[in-house]
Amino acid sequence: MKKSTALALAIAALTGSAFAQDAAKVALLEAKLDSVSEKTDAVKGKLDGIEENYLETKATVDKLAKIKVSGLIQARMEYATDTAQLDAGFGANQARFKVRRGRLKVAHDGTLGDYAVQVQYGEKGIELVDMYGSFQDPWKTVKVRLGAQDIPFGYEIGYSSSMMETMERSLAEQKLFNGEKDLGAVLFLSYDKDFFQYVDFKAGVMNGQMNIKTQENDEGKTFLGRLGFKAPIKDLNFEIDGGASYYMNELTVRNKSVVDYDNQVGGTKETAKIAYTVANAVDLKLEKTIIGADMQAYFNILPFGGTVLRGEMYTGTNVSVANNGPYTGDISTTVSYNTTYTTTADTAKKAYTTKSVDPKASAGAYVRPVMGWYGTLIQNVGDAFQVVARYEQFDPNTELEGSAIGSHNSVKGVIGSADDLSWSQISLGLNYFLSGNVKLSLAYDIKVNETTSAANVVNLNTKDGKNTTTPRTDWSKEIDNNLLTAQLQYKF
Amino acid sequence: MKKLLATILTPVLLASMVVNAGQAITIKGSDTMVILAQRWAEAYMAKHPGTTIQVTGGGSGTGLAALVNGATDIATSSRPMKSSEMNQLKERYASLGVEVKTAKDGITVYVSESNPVKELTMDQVREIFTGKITNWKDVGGKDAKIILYSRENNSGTYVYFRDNVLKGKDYAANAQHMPGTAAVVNAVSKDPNSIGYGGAAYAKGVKELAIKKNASTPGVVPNAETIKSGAYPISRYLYLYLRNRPTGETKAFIDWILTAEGQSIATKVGYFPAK
Repeated sequence: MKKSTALALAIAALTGSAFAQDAAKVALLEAKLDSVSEKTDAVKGKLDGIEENYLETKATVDKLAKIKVSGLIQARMEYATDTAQLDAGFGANQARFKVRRGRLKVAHDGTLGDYAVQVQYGEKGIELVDMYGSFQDPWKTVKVRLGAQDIPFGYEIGYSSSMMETMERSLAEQKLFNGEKDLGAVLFLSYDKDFFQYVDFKAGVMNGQMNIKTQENDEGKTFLGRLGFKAPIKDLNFEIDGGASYYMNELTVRNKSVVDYDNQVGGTKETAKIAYTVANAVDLKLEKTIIGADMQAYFNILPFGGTVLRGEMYTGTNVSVANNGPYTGDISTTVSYNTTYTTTADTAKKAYTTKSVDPKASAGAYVRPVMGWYGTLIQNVGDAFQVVARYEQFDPNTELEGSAIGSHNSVKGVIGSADDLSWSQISLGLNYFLSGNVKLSLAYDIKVNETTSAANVVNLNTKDGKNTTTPRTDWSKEIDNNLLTAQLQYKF
Repeated sequence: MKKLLATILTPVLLASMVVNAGQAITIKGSDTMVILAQRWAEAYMAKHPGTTIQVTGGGSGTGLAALVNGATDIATSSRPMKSSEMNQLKERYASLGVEVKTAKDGITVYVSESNPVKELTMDQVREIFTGKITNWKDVGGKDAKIILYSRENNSGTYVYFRDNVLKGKDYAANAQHMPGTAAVVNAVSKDPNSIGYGGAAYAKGVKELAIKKNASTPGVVPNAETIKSGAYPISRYLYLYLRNRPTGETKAFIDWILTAEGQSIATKVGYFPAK
């Protein structure tokens, strides 16, 4: 065999062997590829399954995310500088614990509308404070809300209780709009573009009972609203917000008599009372009309925290009616006469006796011109601390000076009552935000009453339809009724 | 009274100073700004070794929520703060918040590189993303269904695009909402019939469309010149938000961002100087 032939045969043999080896490798690779492909398909199948599960879970989570549950508790320790002088009545104790507010709210933020129900535990026990539904346009510029809700008036009424820097809203607000809630329909207008981003408007028609548990019992309705504005100066980190509000409630009186310091309904002027009285006031219509103005100035000037100055003013005519429920009997027989004052006794305690009459008749209706305002300074110090100072005044009867209140007339009785005395208050407070949930607060309220010239004036309490003579209060001097409050708030 | 105020304020101020001392600066918010904020943080920390800056994303809404609840020192946002968010700052911190414009960005409309469409009017973009136009042939393309990619609703880009391009209308129901701009770009690059939007800095492997203000004006492509001049119709500022006026290291960091050096980093990342 020639060398070349042998070489060719050797190459052929080697090549054949190499081809055979390559074929084996290819087959192996193909098998591996098939295996990888199968595994990839399996992984893809699993991924598709996971994605499907994810989409199902996401759809469920998205639905659940529309439901919001929130809660709040404000637990307090109060220490009064004197007993039995505070509105809430401490009794014989100077210190007490109480839960000012315990709230649970469930809300649903749905398509073109929302819903909320809120239950509160407080001094009045367990009560419903919010229950409303609303609808709105797709651009969220117009919203109508029906049900039990905040009244659309002023600034502090709509301000969240959990965010309040002071322990309570102002004296004026508490006396004129106690509870802040009513039943009715409220329209909200806002638009976050152009000029309209600087203004907002809300207005409502409501029952006017200021108590969502009370059924409406007269045809008069409340018309109220607020036009708000904001004027930011971004370059200076400064903004002034404010608003003007109006409230008008027509009330049908169920009482025999009306003591009218505003001469709203006419009648006979009784100089002894410095008021007009109406002899037969049953079914008379009275108007509670309050005008409000509010302003908030925000400054980001100090390096350690923001500063806010707030002020709000209420003025108008207030109508106070003790028990104005629907009639339960024959008016001509049940409403016989109002309270009679006699002059037979010397002591103040015996000077006023009450006949046993229908409570709706014995409780008088009062029309008084009112005026109240507050100014609050809030200074944040770092993220955690907040210092607060507020000064406020409330005069529930601007027609009656303190010197006149309590003087006695043998025929017409006493002029005014403790309900006509004006008040001022200084509140100092420190808030510490321990976390996003916990806020600790310490506050001291210095409450100053208007004094009378008469030394022996009884505390004529007309709130519950009775002329009470106890507790006796000498309103000729400043009453020692300051209050120290420590509060823990937890909210989620 | 003065003594009482001094007694109250002194420990409060001291406690506040102790609490704020020696902590890292935390930045959270806009996904559009994550890369930019990271570059700023890296460059600043390199120059100031004693300073620690932590940057996370999550979306502008997430960052601003974190600012309100105290979980971050600085929120990054690719949209202005909403009035509802500012109201929360007012209530909790007695503050309007402090806004710092750090850079400018053009929101780019992306399509696949194989898509023959080169420009769209603002009206066409709106009608595509609201679902009124559903086929590419209606805007000069091939006969194919348009696949929409959007951001999720916690994104500042999502909000800005909805408010300024869609004029407040909702996105089409079939739009797919992606967790980040990078995800939108990735999806669009692989799908020849798709369209998406996002920051100009992310436009890699996709085609950026020229945008016409209306049918009679020429299309404008997003670039440094057109975005800075305002000729490109979909441009916006990128913001930092703080609860209060910055102090100490935070102030030094923000001041540095606004220097030529800080602004040059914005340019390198793909954005444009704020001024």
